[in-house]
Amino acid sequence: MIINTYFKHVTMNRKYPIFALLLLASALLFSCHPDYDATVEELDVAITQYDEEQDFSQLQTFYLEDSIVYINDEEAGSSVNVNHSQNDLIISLVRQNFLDMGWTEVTGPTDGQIDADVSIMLSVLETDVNNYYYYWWDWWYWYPWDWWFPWYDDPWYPGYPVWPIFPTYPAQGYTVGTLFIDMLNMNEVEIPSDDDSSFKLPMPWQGAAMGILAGSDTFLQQRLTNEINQVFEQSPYLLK
Amino acid sequence: MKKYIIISLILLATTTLKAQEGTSIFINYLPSMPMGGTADFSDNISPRGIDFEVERFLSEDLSVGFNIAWNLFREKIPEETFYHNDLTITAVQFHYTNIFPVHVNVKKYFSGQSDYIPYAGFGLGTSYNETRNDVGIFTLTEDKWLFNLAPEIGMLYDMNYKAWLSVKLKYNYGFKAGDFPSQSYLSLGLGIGLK
Repeated sequence: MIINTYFKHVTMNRKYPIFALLLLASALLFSCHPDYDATVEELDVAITQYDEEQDFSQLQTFYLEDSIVYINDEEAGSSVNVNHSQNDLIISLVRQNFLDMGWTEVTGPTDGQIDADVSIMLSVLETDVNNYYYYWWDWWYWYPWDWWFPWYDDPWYPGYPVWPIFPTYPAQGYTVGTLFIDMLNMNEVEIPSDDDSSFKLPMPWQGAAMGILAGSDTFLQQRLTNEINQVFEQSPYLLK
Repeated sequence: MKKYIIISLILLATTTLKAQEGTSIFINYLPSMPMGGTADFSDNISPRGIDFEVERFLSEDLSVGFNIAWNLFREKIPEETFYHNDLTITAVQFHYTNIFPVHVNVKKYFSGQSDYIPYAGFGLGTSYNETRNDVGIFTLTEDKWLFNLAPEIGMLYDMNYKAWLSVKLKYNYGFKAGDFPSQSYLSLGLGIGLK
């Protein structure tokens, strides 16, 4: 009985310091939250991707539609407020960048045909930050191809860059806006008259500017301008 | 409030409790300086580190033990252009390196009559390493278990019959594995031990 009491005493004492130290360790660990507090501006990203086999010197003229396709996040409901007020700014910035890089603009379709080497498609995806990855992943599924090719029911979607990564949520409750600037090589577009597998939409260059939609209009315009310009700045192969 | 809880726990631990005979339990605060591959990714001295150690004394001047630690290094990279797969990306990057070494260690004590007992030790084991790059709302993460070693020198202060104070310098090295670079850092450990 005495022996048992002794061991019980030792065992209890043995447990408590470990427990106390673990508590101390937990308190230290949780008091050191590792994340930086990023500002909205610091979450802005400019991304580009291009076809390394494309000879861009062969592409000289561009056609830019004077409208932007908006894709919003139905699941986010009221948290997403698609704002078209920046349309003019976006279109003029994209146009100016192409002109500054030496491209020639073709201003309108002739006989229903776009007589330009490339057609620039602008689209904006707005979604709650929590659903962003889901939409990014399936981007081409959401893109309204029938708006571009209404005569074709079931086009083949070219692959869009997919990041082998997962999102963080530094800004819960915010809306993420992404402007996609996609270059379609009109010289190599193949659109079959009926449904077969030869449908081809070559995209030699794609750019994206993304950021959290927060702040005043002026702040948003300043960030949009920086990011759109950056998309072109990091694409020197487009220079004529 | 958190400070008071921590202080209370320390006082409680050092005045009312006792570890098993021949065994000491340590907890160390472990601020660290990144070196080599760790510094290449996240080059800032980090105040975020801690280790937990159990030492079994085989004799007065020799112990074997088990050590588990955690260190976090971080660095904010100002806006720059970088490449990921076939993407060109311009953004501010937030780099984080988390390292969790798990070691078996041996320590040799140079004890005399003094209450101050210097020692030299060597730990061998593995470490879980995770590097994370936050870009916008995305994050790029890589992780790897590395073969790990950690030599250290330190000194114990025999505070009373229940507790030690400890100070140590510990170098941690995780060997390169595949594309994952070697990880290394130097830590200053300040801690308390229960006898």
